Amino acid sequence: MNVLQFLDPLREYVDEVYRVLKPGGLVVWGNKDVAKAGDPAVFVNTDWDKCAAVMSAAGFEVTRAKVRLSGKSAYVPLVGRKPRAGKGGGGSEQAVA
Amino acid sequence: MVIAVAVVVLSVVIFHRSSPVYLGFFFDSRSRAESLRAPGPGVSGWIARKLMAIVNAESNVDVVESLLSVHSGHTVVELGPGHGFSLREILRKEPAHVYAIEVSESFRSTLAADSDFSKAVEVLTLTLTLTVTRTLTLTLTLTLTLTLTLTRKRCLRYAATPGPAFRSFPRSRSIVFLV
Repeated sequence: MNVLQFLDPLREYVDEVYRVLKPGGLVVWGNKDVAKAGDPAVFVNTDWDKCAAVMSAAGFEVTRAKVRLSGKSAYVPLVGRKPRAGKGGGGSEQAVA
Repeated sequence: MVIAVAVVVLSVVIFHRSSPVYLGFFFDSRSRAESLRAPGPGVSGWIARKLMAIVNAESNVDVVESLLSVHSGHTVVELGPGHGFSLREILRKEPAHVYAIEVSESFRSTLAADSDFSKAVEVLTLTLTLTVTRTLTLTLTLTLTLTLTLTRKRCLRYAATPGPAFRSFPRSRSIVFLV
């Protein structure tokens, strides 16, 4: 939770997570929109769509769930699953209602 | 004269970045952001930790309950466990292995001192490994790796950067990342 925004370069970290995961493994990033107001020199990834695209390019099947909870506890989950068949030219992105 | 000296000393103490009572959290956006990324032991770090406790307590439990289905055979890696709100929930599911990678030394100290985690991992052997890693290309630089090598079924590992820690991960049937 609240780590994705600090990872620089993001692709390097995402690739490392992908490498370590077994096929079918799951990565869940919890993100808070309050990060968008932080210093951009430190909060380097605050566009969740771009982050989802990076995950997808790394090979994950990406699911963007709706904002969960409310008020100070609200967060945007980004869920990636490593395909069981392995990397095959990029994963797919799927929005969950 | 005494008042003037006191004001100067106080100003130096409060406004100098290396001071433990540096109050940059309130007026320096870069310092505030860095404290929120990896709270230090000073006043700014203390404020960041308190703020994170308020903001994260509910969401960190929710993400485990609603988005992760951790089972007994799983290996779970949590990047940035902070206060350990999610970690506590994950351990209740009794996965095979849990790795907690935390960049903040003050958070690592808090986690290591938590009696709940000590009980959960049933410490039989404690190995302390201290490693300093400096990587120019990564944001999470100059880090300390504190490794608690534990026997029995579960293992809690406190490390700082994903790279070196990941390389030693066992290849389990199912690894779940919570970040």
